[in-house]
Amino acid sequence: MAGEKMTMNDNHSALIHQTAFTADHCLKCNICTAACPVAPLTPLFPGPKTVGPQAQRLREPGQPSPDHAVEYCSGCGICTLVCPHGVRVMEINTQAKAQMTETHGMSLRNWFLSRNELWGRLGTPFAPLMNFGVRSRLLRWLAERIFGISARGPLPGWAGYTFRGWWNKQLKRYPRPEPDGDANRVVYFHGCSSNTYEPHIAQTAVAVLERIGLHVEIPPQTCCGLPAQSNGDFTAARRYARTNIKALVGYARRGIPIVGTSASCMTAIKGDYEHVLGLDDADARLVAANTYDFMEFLWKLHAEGRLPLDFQPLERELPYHAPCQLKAHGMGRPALDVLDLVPGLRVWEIDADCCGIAGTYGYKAEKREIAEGVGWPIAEQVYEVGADTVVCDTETCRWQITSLTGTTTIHPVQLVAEAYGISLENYRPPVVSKAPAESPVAQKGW
Amino acid sequence: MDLPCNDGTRRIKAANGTDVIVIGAGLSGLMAAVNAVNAGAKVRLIAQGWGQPMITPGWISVCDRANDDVIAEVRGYAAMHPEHPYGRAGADAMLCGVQTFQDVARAVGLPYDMRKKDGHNLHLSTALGAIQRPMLAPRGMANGDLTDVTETVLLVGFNGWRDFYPQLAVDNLRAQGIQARAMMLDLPEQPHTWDQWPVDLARMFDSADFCASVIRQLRRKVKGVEKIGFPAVLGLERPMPVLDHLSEQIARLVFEIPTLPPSVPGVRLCNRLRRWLLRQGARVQIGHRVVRSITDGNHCSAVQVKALGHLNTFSADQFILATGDLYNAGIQSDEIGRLWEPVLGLPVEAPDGDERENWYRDNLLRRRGHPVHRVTGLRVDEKLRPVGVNGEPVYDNVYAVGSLLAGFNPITDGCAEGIQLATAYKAVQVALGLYEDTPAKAAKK
Repeated sequence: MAGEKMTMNDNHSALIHQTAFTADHCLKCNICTAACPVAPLTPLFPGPKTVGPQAQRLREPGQPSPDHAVEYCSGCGICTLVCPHGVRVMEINTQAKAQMTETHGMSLRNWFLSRNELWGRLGTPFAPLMNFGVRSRLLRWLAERIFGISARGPLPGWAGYTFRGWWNKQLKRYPRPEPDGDANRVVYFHGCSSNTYEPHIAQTAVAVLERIGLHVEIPPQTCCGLPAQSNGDFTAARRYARTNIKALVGYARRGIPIVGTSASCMTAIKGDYEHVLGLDDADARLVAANTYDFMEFLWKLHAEGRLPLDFQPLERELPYHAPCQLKAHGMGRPALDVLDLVPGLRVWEIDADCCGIAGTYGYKAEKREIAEGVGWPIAEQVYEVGADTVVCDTETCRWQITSLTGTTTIHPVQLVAEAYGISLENYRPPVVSKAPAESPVAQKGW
Repeated sequence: MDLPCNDGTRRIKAANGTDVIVIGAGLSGLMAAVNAVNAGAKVRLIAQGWGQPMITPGWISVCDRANDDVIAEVRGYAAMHPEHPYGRAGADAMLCGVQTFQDVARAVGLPYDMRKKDGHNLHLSTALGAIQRPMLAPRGMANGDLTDVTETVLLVGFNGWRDFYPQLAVDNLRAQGIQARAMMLDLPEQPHTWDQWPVDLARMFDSADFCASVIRQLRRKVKGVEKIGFPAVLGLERPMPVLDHLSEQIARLVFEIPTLPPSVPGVRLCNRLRRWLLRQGARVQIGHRVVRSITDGNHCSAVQVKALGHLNTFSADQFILATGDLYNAGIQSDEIGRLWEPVLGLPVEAPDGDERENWYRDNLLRRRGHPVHRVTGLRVDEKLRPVGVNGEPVYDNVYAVGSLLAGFNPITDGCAEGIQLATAYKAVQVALGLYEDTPAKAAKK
């Protein structure tokens, strides 16, 4: 008699589902305050309990928010993770930030930082010029003085081409055969960064999916909305979210998995649309249920015996940072689980809550020092072992880690691609067999 | 002083290839993970949040009521009460559990000490000046043993800090015949008006400047003082150097007294054990609420976590349930008095009559505690597998440890941590097939 056993926890959860009401479960134990990486670094932030569940008692819809301190919450969500009582502390804080933005308006700087999708697209044709601007000390100094965008914040460079452009060319040059049915299809959500700043990551991801024997679909999509959300611009965030849900829900209805290489974009689609932005309808939930972080998806394929295990050995030992937003997924550390399958490779997790950048937080001049302090434990542990490369699933975290440590940073999918022997040079899709490769052993655990 | 423990634990890699999932990040969950890692298993620790060490004093109560030999007392009690968690685990498992805990705590730089002269229970003051009698405590607390104090004990508080009032403790200590006096120190001026939590003060103590100002304020005022008690905030990142530095500079033994939550000794321990586990290759998944299990007959193959978007499945060979008691997430209840175990739906022992009004007695601080705390929990067989009404284990690969177990009162019995360590040790031994090979049995073979 095999089966899944549902216990009363499932029924119970409906009662405490709504984010604001989870504050009722707060015992004021301060475990979140003890774990908060921001509070010890600035006297301007009294800690997640104080601005979260405690201040929540004084917040009413339509009323002004009680304090400005919540601005200093980075939104990393460590508080939500460590709470033993299921209080969604970070989500409460993010909603409070939105209330602040509604009351007091949004600074030009925050508006600017929450539109990275726009800058990515607009900047691509002028990549050399834009990259010069980003690297110019004078211009960065001016940007800090005028807009409040930290001169030390690790802004990315433009690649000069887009992933979508590359993909369209690929499809023209090597038309992929349409598979029968939907079983071997997968939707790839590249996000803004992998489209315009780091297209090689998206290219690698697609190549890995094709190597596994999946038919990749890349529907039109926009920013996940997280930058707007964390800057309190819920109107824009909801607009982005709705666009994506509309673009993806058709695939979700057909049971086609949606995967993405940016763990933070995936956090937004899987969780924040509902818990923070309040988009609690059937379409949003269906998209969330069918969305997977890239490494989570590979681990799921492995559990189903569908991940080819013909990896070439990689004799390397590398530190890995699990981004705070990845920790929020509730999926463990699938990057480590998958990379453990590669012979010779040993990837170990750095003990750190957050790299500090927290999306756009670390780009704000007044918060840059805090962001560097939050991320410092990563640098310490990387220096301790003298590593030259750090593995990490989210783009802004990678840039932050590079700026803190001077090391190269890579997405775990790049190691998977290396182990599969994939090269992007003159990339051609592998010949797809009708049935996906069966791995030789029944899979369980790790 | 070390405990005489030598059995299968040191056989590293014995259990290579076994996957263990531990659910719960309290003392028993963390130590089950540590013991399984030590034995060479692949370990995944999954917990909804941090567990009880974050809010408890930080010391290890094994058998508070023992007047002399604690171990002999537990041994005798365990032999006479096979249904009690100590009876189920056995006194040997308690010894080894405490020993492995002391070993790993020392390895992460947080030594825990027993009473120096004989290893009997310490006599430690609470923030109210009551005497508690744990067997083991973080070095900073163990320094505060009041057993043979002959001169004055000085208790130090901070002006404007509302979490610790030394005079209150001093009055109560004096009433018990202990010479004590109180003293208030100044905190540096704060740039803001937020509440200060124990972790905030602990971070101040991490800084050399702050320690220097404390030393300056105290140095000339310790005549006739034997030891100096601070609230347990002496450093978060570097507690041992802070403790040594203060003791050396003030030329008196410095000790720590538990504070209101969060417990700094607990934060230190959890943070360092997390780092240790990660370095050993274990997964530490805090913030993951297990809501369901996948079972086949009497075998559990996986648990499912409530994740963003969908449930996530984690499979393993062995499962150790360390989810805590009614005050934690291990047992849940509702307003009409139903009790349930939320992960696997295991049968829960309930107080007689099943009515919520039978759970409590009229007196809140009743000495023996309330029936609900003694009775409620999971009943287990001698291998620590939860049993059904028929007395048979419900699953062949699920073990329950710590305060989740029925048959003792973790609040009033003064043995909660001892049981957590003992059962966490024994469950891992059984789960990894090392239990049958204890020296006594191996010798027989």
